[in-house]
Amino acid sequence: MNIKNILAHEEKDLKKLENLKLLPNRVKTIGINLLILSVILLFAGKFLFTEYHTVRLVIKNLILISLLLISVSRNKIEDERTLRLRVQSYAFAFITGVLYAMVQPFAILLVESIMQSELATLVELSVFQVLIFMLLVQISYFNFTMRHR
Amino acid sequence: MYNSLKVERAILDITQEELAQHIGVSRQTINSIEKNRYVPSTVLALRISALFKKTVNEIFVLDDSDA
Repeated sequence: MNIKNILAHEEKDLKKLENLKLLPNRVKTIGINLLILSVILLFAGKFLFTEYHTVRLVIKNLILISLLLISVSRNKIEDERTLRLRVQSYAFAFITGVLYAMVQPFAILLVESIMQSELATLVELSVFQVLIFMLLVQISYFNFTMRHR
Repeated sequence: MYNSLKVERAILDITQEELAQHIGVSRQTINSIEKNRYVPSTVLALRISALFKKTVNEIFVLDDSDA
């Protein structure tokens, strides 16, 4: 294999990574602002809305959307290292998300049985909990490795 | 693998930011390469070596741990 073939092969691999369709960098700012607004509404909603349970569901979805926007928006400079760390962070978030979904109900059961043994029950995790955990892990892992690796 | 990127940069008297702009990556990527935390792709290594007018092997060197 000559050097041209090696280069062509590697360029192709990098292009595959670049095919991750990311949103423009300004979307990250929109996502952060939306997240702040959603968290404020989540806490202040009890006093502002009469139909709080319905509003709460909408706010939870807003939190998920804002985290997703932060997660899939480009950095100011997106290069091969950024793309590699991004892919690693998604893999890490997926694996920890699965482990979290398996372990967390039993961890709650254990804590509850220690605290109040009669009321201890095995509660299933909600989709929202798992998704928010995975998105938070992905964003944290990506930003941490961007700074320290 | 270790590299002499910092030395080469000092010879040309350019900052990490300037080098990053020349080869089209972020300053953090140059910093990570200099600290041996990130191994660049062949394409990036060739771009760096072309800028310093040296071969890739003169800048990036395999050590015992790569054997």
